[in-house]
Amino acid sequence: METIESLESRAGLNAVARTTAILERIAQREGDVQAFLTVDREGALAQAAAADLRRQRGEAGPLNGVPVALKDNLSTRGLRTTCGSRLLENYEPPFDATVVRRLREAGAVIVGKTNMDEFAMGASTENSAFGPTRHPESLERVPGGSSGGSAAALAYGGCLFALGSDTGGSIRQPASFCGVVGLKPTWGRVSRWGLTALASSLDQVGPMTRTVRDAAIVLGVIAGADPRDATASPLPVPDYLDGIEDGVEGLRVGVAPDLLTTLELAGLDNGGVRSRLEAAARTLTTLGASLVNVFLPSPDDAVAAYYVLCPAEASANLARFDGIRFRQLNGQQGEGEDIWQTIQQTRGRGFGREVKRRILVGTFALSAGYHDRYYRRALAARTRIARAYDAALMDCDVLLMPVTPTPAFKLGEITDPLAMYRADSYTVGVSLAGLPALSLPFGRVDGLPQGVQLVGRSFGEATLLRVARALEKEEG
Amino acid sequence: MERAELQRLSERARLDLDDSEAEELRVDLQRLLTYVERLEDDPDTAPVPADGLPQDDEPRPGLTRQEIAEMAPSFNPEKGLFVCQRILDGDD
Repeated sequence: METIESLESRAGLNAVARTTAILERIAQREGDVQAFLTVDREGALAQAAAADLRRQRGEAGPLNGVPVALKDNLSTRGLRTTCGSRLLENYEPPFDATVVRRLREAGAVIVGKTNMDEFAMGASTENSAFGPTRHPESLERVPGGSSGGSAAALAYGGCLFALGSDTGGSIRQPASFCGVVGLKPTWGRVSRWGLTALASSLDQVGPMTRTVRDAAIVLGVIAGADPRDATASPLPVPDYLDGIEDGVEGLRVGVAPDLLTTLELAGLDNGGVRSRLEAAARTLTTLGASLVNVFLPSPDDAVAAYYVLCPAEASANLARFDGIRFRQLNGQQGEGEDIWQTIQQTRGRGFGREVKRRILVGTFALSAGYHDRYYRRALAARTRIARAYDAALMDCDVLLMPVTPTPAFKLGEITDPLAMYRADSYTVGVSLAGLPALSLPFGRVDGLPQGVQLVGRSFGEATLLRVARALEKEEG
Repeated sequence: MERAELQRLSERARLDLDDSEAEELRVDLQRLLTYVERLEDDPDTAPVPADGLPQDDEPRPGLTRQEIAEMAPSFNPEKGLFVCQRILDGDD
């Protein structure tokens, strides 16, 4: 398996040859999988040639010549950035997102932009306006979402790592479905400047990689303060590889037995996920960690609070998409009698069903008369959920949880929006708490990859990566 | 949720919906709101009374182009653009 580290150990390898091989792999698989919305063949080869020159001059950065795929809600200068929406079908940003600029400065080669649920609203990539991405191992199934294109591209070899964004699980869930590592950093650890906002109090950018060590390398490159994003923390960025091999001897791992029961009773968990979680817990105790029972809030409460707060913020953030700014539109421009009617028509034509659903829910929750009953109550629930996670993490160093109730489901299998929302049961609570969490591949359920989720203290990514690395070594 | 309420909501959200789409979304919203109301079972989530509650959702006329231009620190009347500090391509 080729990784960022394995490339570094072969410093003489030609970046152009490597990028060419990646582009050939993309050409082989894209007809089936459709992980990419844009493949920048010429740009990637030019970046690779520049990377080779830098290496010859001894100027190589930590990701020099490493091919990366970027979720299509990260702004890339001069490279189409659609957010999976018809409304941005022709939009080419005039700037790079901070994380993109940092990757370029580290020498990474951007091979393309990956498919996603429209404006990151979804858990299957079926909500992309440009058609769904398919699971690379099982084409009748979804790769998860909303960063499904990034996960699928990485899983089939269309890049060596990818970036995704995670608002309620959009890195962790597709990582689990596709058998790759997905890390949602602490809210504030990574700049969001240039990330198209879904819900600003929840959004984070994070790496998707083949190994835990690669996740540590990429996080070290993209994390840190940013004068363009006031929410990016000024806390120093440690070397995340330091201590990553120290093992789990003496660490306390929190487990919440009640968490699984709720979903099993609702028929959402078939028991396979529980078996993987128990196997991970056994492995950690064998390695010297101790298990601690903790209390975590009901997944249903977290889903309920999340699906008020996220739509409320989304309804405000998406107000800017009027079909007039950000370049326009193939045949979907409204033709109203005034500007407002034109905007209303354009948005009605340009947004997909899930985006409309969430904008309406958010507008409703923020309306006079309903604000207290829905929005403020959800805010209070969020505070209670965050406190419960903080209290649990007082008693342990990391939490061990499922990522998803099931492995990858079939395309078209979940049509009920509420059922789709409940598929986020194990991830949205962590998002509401703003904590770092990592999805680690840990065996298979029903023949499909299945991850386990590790949750750390705020800005505790180093411990999270250390525990994940210990599990990864045992799992092989 | 009544159909008329969804209609008002879609206008506030500036979303044109055709009849069948509006009906499907109305049903979806009703189900979701019913699910979310589970939070009302938890007394800890009761919102604390607060001042400064949102004003009524009554549309009002916006400012004219001229009024906005006069308030701007710098405005280019020939191009009809606000003049602001350059933020792209600058150094951090």
